[in-house]
Amino acid sequence: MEVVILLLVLIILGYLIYQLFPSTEYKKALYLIDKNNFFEAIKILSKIYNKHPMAPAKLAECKLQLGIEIKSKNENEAISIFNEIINLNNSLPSKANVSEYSLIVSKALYYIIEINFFNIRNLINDDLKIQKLKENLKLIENSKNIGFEKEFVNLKHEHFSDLSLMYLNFGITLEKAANFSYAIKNYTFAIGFAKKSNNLDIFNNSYARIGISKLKNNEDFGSEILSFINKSKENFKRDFYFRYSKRLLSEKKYVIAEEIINTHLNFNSIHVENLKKILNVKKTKDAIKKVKEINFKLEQLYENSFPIEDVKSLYNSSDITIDNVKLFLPSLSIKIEQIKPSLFNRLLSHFIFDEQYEDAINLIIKFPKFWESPELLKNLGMCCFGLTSLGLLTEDNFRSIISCWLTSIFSDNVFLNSIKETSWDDEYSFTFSDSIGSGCFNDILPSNVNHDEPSNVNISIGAAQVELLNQFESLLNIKYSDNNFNKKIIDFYEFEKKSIENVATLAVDNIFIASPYFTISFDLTHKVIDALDLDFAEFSVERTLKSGLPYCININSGFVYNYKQATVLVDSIINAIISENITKLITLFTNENKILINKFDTISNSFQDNIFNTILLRINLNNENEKLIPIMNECINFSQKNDKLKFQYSNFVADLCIEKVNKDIMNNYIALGLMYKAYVFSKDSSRICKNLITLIKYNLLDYLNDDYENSISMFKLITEIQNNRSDKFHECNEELKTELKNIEDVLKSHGLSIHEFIRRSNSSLNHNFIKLKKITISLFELTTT
Amino acid sequence: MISPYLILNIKQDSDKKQILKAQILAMKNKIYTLQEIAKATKILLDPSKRLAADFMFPAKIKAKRPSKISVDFQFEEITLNDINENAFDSI
Repeated sequence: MEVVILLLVLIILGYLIYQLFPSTEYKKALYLIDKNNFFEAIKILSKIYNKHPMAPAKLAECKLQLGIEIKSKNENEAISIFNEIINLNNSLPSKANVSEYSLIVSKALYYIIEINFFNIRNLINDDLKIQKLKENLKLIENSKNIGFEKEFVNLKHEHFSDLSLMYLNFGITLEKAANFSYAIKNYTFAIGFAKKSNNLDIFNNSYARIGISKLKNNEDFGSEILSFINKSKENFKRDFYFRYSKRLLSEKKYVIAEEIINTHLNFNSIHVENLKKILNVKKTKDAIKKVKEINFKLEQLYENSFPIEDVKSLYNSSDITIDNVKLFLPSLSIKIEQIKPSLFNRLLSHFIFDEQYEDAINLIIKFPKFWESPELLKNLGMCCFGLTSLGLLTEDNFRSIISCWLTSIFSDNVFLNSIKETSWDDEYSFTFSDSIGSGCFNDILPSNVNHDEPSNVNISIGAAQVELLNQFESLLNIKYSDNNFNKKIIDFYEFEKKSIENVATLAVDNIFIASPYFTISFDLTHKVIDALDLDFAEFSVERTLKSGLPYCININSGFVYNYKQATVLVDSIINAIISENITKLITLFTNENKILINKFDTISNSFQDNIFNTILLRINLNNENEKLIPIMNECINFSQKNDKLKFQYSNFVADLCIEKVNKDIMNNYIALGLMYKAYVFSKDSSRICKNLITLIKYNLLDYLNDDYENSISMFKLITEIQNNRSDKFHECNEELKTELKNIEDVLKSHGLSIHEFIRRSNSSLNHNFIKLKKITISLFELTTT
Repeated sequence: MISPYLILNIKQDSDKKQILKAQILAMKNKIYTLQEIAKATKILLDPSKRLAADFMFPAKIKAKRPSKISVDFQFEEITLNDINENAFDSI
């Protein structure tokens, strides 16, 4: 009994001693921390402070939690708790876990600085506030920030942001007191702190205030400031640009001032209107000055009989003046415009009289919408003729001159106008019946102009046009004898003439008759294409679209455009065939492209012939070119009408097989496959059928005599042929019948009929007879209808 | 290519009678060859060819004789002094 009691006492004592071990105490503390009982945990951790390495860190952590809990209620007590954590550093045992402890110290320091920061914000004295903020910033700079870096950075940014706002406000106060230099200094500080805090609003607004202060203080500023001002507060922007506009006007920088007013002060305001009025007063005064100059020059022109250089100078300067005044003084621009035609006539007469045709042409083509004036178009044609007759066509100008000439001659209005101008022709009437232009069908004609048959008294306008064309063509041949240049200009002339003729002969309503180069040069292609599209929409004549092709430049929709796409596509297909580029061909043979080609009858109808002729040329170059076979196959599959292509394919493949088999460079099995493809496209051709039958025979014989590699495929192919036999095939298969007959005779000599032989089981036949049986079956099936 | 009007030294509106008279004068003056004079006469007596020859006469666009431009514009005189610089003061 005593022993039992002694044992119990020993156990209890052992347990009590165990409870007093530091690690047991530490575990207890952890348990209490887990239950948020920091006070009790602190008591235990303080006891084992020097005994357990984690105790100081955990003690600091408990204090930190306590500090965080009470900081909103009692900042001073919280600060003292956080300081206790920091002061633990002085009594840290040598075996303590320092790194864990340092993390807690960083956090404690952060909370002290944060409490300080919020307190500083409540200070009334700005100087003290700045001083305290800077001190607090120093604390942040000096702290280690371990594990709490992001929070410290954010806190730092808040300090900088507060500082920048304070300096901005200081600046504003100083600016209000007209102390601009100190205001600018403070705005500069604000910019510096705003930059550190990434506060773009304060950053841009401070720049705006600097700009405004400098304007108020009559100082200059760098242009780099403008980019920040555009991002500043709206009222700062308005203030700045209003003052800046006034400054620019005072410096007589009217163009920049107008640009700024239109861009940045684009709102309703009497004050902005006043700025605009100043600009208008300036412009009006300038215009009056300019008009006085014009009037003076006109006076001089009259006094000196219009010397050409003065006319030229006045004509050119009047354009600039018109441009300058037309927006704010439109009536004045009209008045200046009215003096131009007279000056134009004077200049043109001078250039023509002096045979300065290039100057004359430049003068005409700069005249707004000159192509709408029959007089100008006629003068243009005349000058082009004159320039050509002087031998002045060059590589640079021949296209422009020829196109202008043709446009002028093909304009029936030019001739109509000429008839109106003269009186010698009063005893005649004139007819457009054979004119080469549009025929003036839509115009009301004078009484002496008609569309009747030409006669001695009803004069053909067309004959006059042709006469002029002939004269011009003679000039081209006489004056430009250099072979290369002559060819170039004649080719161009023929192309332009043919194009304009094609369009003119269509008699399309409201079309502008001009040569392609002319319409492209003066951005008038739409005047041709739109009329052609409308005409096609009504009458669906594809010739109309074809005529529009040379004019279809920079056009992205409409019938002519689609027609052009289809022709370009056909050209690409032809080129792919010529270059034997099967990959390219496959990419072109899409359903979309098939639809595009089939949209236009003329293109789809000629498509097969185009391909046929292109392939024919390739075959003629090399009739053993196997690369053509897949190309032809693709073309047959793509073409809606493909009879000719199939016929071409069959003949080409048949010829190729015969040639190569005869030369022993193609085996009978390959040849049979190809010949069958030829047969598929030409089942009624006795030539193809006969050759196919011969190849069947060759293959069966090869099978019988040799170790035939492709026997399974070959018999499969023969079965396919058998299932696709045409009447012509039946007509032509004497050769196979003969072969079958030969086998029958051999069998007979062995006392067997064909049917008995076929019915024989393979097990009763040797290898050669099995082969013979297979051939006999094929021949029997191929020759039986 | 010389204008037939120039060879015969006549105006654009000359009638048949004047052309024939001019032909005789031109032959007397001997400035141009007989062949050139005959060709010019033939052109001017053929209305179609004459129409083609007329193409080489410049046509004038409609124009009025330029006269002085009046400058009696009314405008409100306003100077920079009339502008209130602080109209959009932002502080």
